[in-house]
Amino acid sequence: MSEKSKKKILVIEDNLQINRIYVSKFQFEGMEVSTASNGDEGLEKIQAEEPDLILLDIMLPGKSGFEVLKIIKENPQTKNIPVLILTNLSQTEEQKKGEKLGAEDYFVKTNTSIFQVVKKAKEILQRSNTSK
Amino acid sequence: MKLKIKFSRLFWIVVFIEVSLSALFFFFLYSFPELIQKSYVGTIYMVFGGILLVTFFISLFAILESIKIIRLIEKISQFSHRIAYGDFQTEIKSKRKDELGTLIEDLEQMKITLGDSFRKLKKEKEKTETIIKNMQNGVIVLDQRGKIVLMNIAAKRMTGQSTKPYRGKNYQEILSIKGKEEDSFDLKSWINKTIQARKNINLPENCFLQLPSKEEIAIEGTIFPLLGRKEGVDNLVFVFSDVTARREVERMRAEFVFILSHQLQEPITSIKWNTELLLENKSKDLTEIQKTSLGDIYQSTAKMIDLFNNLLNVSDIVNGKLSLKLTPTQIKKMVQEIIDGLQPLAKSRNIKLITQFEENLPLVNIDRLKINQAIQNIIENAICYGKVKGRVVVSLKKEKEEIVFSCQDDGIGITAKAQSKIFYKFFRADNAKQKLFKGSGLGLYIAKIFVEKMPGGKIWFHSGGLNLGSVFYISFPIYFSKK
Repeated sequence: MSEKSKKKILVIEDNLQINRIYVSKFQFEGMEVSTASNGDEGLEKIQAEEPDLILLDIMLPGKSGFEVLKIIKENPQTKNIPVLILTNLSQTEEQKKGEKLGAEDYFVKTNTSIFQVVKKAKEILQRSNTSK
Repeated sequence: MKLKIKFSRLFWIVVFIEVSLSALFFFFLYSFPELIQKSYVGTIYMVFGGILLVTFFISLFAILESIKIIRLIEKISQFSHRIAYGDFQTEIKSKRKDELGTLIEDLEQMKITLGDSFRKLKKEKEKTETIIKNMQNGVIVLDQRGKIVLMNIAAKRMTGQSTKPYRGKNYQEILSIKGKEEDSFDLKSWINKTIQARKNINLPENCFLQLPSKEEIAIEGTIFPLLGRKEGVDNLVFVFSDVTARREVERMRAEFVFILSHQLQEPITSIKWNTELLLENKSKDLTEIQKTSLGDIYQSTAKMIDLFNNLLNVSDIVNGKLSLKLTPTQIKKMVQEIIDGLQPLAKSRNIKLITQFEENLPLVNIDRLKINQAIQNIIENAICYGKVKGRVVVSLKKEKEEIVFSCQDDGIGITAKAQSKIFYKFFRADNAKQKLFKGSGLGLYIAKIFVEKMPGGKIWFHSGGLNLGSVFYISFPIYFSKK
């Protein structure tokens, strides 16, 4: 697999242990992963790295995940990047809010296995690949 | 009352005849003395005079007697009037031994009995009034036109009307009750509902009473009708209590649970996912014991997550944050996934999970997360409280316009005593506690609330009793696409 065809994933998540899991799992699956531990860092990295998929937590220090998502979707350069919300906020209201703001899907971390996350990520990347 | 004696017309005719005959007697006596001196005429005349005299005395006696009787009747009349006005001290006395005497004795006896009942009733009324007056619950009684006829101390205090007169005011001037959301509650329609149904109706949860100072207090209440003799409703009684403090405690507790569980869920996610990775690798470096340990960690984490989900759901319910996201769903796939997830638990208890799913079941319109939780709670209960080495049968079938889910176990069953309580929050039946010491008492409570929150969703159960197993049912109407 050439460097160029490697899919890039950006993880915006403040829990370092969870970040490590994402990194090892997605690297194992042959993807390129970078992480950001807060919203502002995440927004900078989106500009710099142009990822193919963003995994976004909601409860972040500083800007909340919803605010970050809104900025991503309002920017014409970044609005087409699919965003997957992964949080431990399980209320329907939050889920609806995330979907309304344009998130691809919404997962409650404890109710999801890491394999389901990988499967969903692959699905989304596959789809964006074929639509390009 | 002045004594008034009225004689009948017959009486006056008798007096008239008597007087006329006497006048005629004396007229003849003085006008024709020579005729009377003749012996036979004189004898007749004297007999006639004698008769006249006797009838005169009889009449006189009759008149005096009637006056006596009439006076007595007047007394009786006054006596009964006094009793009617509640004077039970009044007396009527007579030495007569005849029928009238007996009547008067009976009346006296009646007075005593009536007086006793009256005093008893009065005492009861005073007691009830004191209780109502001093009750901690507010009581407001309305008449048919919605005017207030009674309001106890607590009601006055709660509505901020302590010093103002209330009698005759319309209830809308005093009671301003709101639902959680603006305009979501209308007291008038609830009052009409009570009148139509002619039975008690409880106010919905999360009602607020707005005071004249615009301050709001949380209340719980019931409206019940006092039924009239015919079809109608005579009065409406509104009983309510101030639950502000209790709701505040519930809210704080729910908030505490929310924060605590979210703080805990992050590290739990880390444990769960790391364990998943380790188990997936099936690393050759791991010994069998280590693999078993990892499996145990995974199981424990899953259990903990389950408990958190239940606690969070309760927190949502208490905070009134329960909103729905309805999606047409293939319930068969969902139930199968739940069963797959519960296989390890069933295996650990040597219980066989059997599925009986009908083919080609139509979709149902449900909130997937919530119903997933409800069904998971029910199957998990069946496994936890089922017989070891027993079986749990989960079925799905179409019945008329509904899809019915059922979950049958052969376990500890539900005693008659516990049957009315099993959906209560934190309730755990005695036999359930014996079987499994640890348990939150939240599973069925949440299941019921979630299922009934779905349009047309129903939940019920059947159990023969102790150790006779139980069957839980859930049903949803079939989803018809709007196209």
